[in-house]
Amino acid sequence: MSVLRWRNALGLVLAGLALGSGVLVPAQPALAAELSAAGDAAFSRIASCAAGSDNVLASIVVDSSGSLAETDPSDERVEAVKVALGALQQIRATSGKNVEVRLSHFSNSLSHLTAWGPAEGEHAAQIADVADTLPRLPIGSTDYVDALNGSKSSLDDEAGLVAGTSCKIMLWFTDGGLDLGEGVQANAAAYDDLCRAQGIVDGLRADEIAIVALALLGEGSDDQVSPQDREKLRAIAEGSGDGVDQCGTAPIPPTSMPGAYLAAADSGAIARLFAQAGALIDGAAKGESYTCPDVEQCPDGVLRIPFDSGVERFRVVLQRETAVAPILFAPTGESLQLGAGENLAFGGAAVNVQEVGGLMTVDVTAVGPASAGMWNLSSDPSTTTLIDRYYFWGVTLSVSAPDGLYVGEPSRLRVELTGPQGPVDPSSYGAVDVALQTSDGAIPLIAGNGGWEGTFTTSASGASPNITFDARASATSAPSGIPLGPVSASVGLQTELKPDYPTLSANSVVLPTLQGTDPSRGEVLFKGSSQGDAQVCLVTSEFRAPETAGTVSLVGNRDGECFVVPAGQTLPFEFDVQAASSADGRIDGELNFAIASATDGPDVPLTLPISGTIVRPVDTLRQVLLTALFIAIALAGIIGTALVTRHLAARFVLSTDTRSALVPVIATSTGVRRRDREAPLFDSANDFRGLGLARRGRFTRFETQGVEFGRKVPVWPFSAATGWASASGRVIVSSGGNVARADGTRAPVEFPGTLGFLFIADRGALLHDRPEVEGFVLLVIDARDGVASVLPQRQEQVNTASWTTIVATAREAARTVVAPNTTARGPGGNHDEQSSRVGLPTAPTAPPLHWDEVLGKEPQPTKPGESSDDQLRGQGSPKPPKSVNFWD
Amino acid sequence: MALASIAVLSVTVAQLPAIPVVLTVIGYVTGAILCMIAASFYRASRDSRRSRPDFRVTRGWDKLVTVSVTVGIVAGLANAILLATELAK
Repeated sequence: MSVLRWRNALGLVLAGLALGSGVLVPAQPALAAELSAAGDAAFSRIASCAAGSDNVLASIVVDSSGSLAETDPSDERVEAVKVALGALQQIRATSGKNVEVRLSHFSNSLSHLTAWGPAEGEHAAQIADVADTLPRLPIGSTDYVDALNGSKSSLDDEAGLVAGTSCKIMLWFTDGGLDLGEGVQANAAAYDDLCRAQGIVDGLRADEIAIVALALLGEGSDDQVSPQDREKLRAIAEGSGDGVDQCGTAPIPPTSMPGAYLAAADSGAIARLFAQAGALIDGAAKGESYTCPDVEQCPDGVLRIPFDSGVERFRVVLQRETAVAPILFAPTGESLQLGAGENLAFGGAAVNVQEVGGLMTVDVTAVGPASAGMWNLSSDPSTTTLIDRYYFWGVTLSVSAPDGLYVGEPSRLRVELTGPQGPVDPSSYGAVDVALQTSDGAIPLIAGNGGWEGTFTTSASGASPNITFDARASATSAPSGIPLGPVSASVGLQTELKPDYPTLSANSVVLPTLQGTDPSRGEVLFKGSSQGDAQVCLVTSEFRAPETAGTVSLVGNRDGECFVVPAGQTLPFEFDVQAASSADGRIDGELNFAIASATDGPDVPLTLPISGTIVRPVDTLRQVLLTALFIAIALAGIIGTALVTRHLAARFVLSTDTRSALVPVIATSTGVRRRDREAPLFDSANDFRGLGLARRGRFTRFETQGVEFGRKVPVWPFSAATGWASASGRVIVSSGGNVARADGTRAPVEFPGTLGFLFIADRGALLHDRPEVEGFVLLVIDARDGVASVLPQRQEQVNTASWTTIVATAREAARTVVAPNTTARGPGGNHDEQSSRVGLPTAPTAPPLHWDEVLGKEPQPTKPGESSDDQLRGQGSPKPPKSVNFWD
Repeated sequence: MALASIAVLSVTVAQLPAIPVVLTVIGYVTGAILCMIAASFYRASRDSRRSRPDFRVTRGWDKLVTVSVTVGIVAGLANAILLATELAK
């Protein structure tokens, strides 16, 4: 049996008080809309849910649509979130439960601003900080669909992660109607999606998620949202609204969680609206609001608060215009100046004070009889203070069947109220009303033995193995007549059959998933009575499924089928359920049996709930082929992109400012010096020559000073392309001391081709043991401000290079004979060909020198096209580098 | 884009057994295709900046891109499987 949460309603509690203060009529300073009967019942249910669960999960979802600029210009929602957080902290403090909260916002879509975490400590501080950013969030339309779906997923996910049962609440603040920003028809379609049977809202309710809609009806909001839109919002929360169609299945099934709609008259009341929602969830009823000072209600700023025994707690929420602290007077004559953060024993009660966002919340919990009597709350009479007051009954409601619940037999039911100190004595209240009902109707109750009792007989149409009883209690306290409650409880009790009837092995059957129109088989076991054989008949079967599934029924039209369950034996009853069409969704239904007695008892009806899921079948071959196709498309896109970007990026970038210099040098393992004269390595005025380009370009190949530059593109699309330089068969080494081929005929070059330098030497110049090696250094510079601007740095780069490595690599390459059509990897570079070392080097024959003129010799004649070096040296028109199609 | 693909995948999985085609297409394209394209252009852009004197290797970004591409492709292909499943019904 479950034990459910108490709650308390607040009414015109000061009327007829023994202390003779007169009747106080509640003012209307803030919270405009009255809580509807459906909302009141929903809060009772939510409070029961919160009390009966191990965890309370609250998803605070705040509207950030563009209309907020009109309806909440002063960003009151920021403080409202903090107040709601404070209310959740209060639930945590009073119940000791794990209360977790997450802050999200929505406009075009739902976005989570924080993760889930406890409503206290660092996480609470983080939510408060994040709430400050709400006014800065991007604005947009108002998409309820995404807000509800996203919040449902978030709550369900978190409920699956925390241990124990969870009460899931969506605190949904919005100022307006559904507006996708795509026209009236789109909005209507979205509303239909939300509100159709088995739709989104039904999904939330069936998932036992309580939607608490907190609407802002501020000035200017009428321009943004019509009254009908607001009623639609009410319908989403509560199931129905004035002048609009019902939303979701109506009435809301007992197994689903109802919601509530609250409205604030203006932006300044938003925070109090959140405070009200928190109080109601915590078990209070909608409170009354007062304006202090007021001649009748709050003379001289003093509000009278009756507090009777039998009432667990009262709460006052103050919205002040002054910093003057209010003073609380206890019936014992003591007084207490209220300050935030106080938590102390006072006047026979425990007093807790919180202050968030300009709202002060004062909780006074009775801990002894001394607290009963008239309390007074004194506020600054020179300024206006708005006060909301709530009472908490503090009882739980339980339902039981002390003698068992027999199908077809009258059974005794008992309802009890339990308070913090044990069973509640009804005589201590002015009046206590308790009601109990099932889906078949109300069950009369009679007070007695400290509780209430009634008799229940299962209906003739069929008894479920589990019957849900909804109990509800309300009371008025004595002597002040404070209305308390209602508290509610929804309790499921298992039915039983007398020994002369066969029994069922299960309370319900969950079918294996229905694959399209294929039948799904369920089974239930009947255990025979020990008193003899008995007949069981399947009277009717009913199923509910998504519309697209068509008719769902038992295979073979088995309604009316009867069979005998032998005494003391177990008999399986198998059945196949089939849908007329394929669909995705949930199937629910019942098998209604008539069970005969093994003796002379009457037949009893019994209903067996059936549930399951239907999915459209998957063509596995098609699924595999489509998956392969999508993967192939993705791979093609990936490879294509890699190829394109590689061909575009791996290019030599040269401009009209690009110059190259080829100088003769003598290199040793310790450095390099100029060979032709005693001078710095490079002369910016005389050594550098242009490449003869008409404009800047990106090239796959070019030649300068007799050295050819090109690139190597690996077959594997994800390997980077590499640049290389070749000096007509001579050994060429990069500034890092690397060669791209083992025989030194190519050196690696970094793109864009104007980095580092190259060392070039004849093989003969390397095949000796002298420490000095004659060769050349090639430098390519691309500087907008001229070669001289960067030459010092580049020359320094040459001087500080590891000439030990460069010379050693060059000598090794000179001694290497290359095996044709093979590749090898040498020190620091990629190679095209496989190399092998032999005893004596045989260097390939080098073409004629093109750089002899550098040494003052006449250039050797070359065949046209063998090298562009001659052309670049001014023989005829300079030829620009080749620009090659990047697919080349 | 990798995160977008994961988000779409999460939303889709949450709605199972119903599979929204549009969402899975978005998840597939963003994760399996656009993610790689973006990464390729990032690398091309990075390589083209190598010649600048102020160029610095940012290994953090490189790792982030690598992880994002991996995650994006996995999420994209998961969306592709869901899409194929829906189309094969």
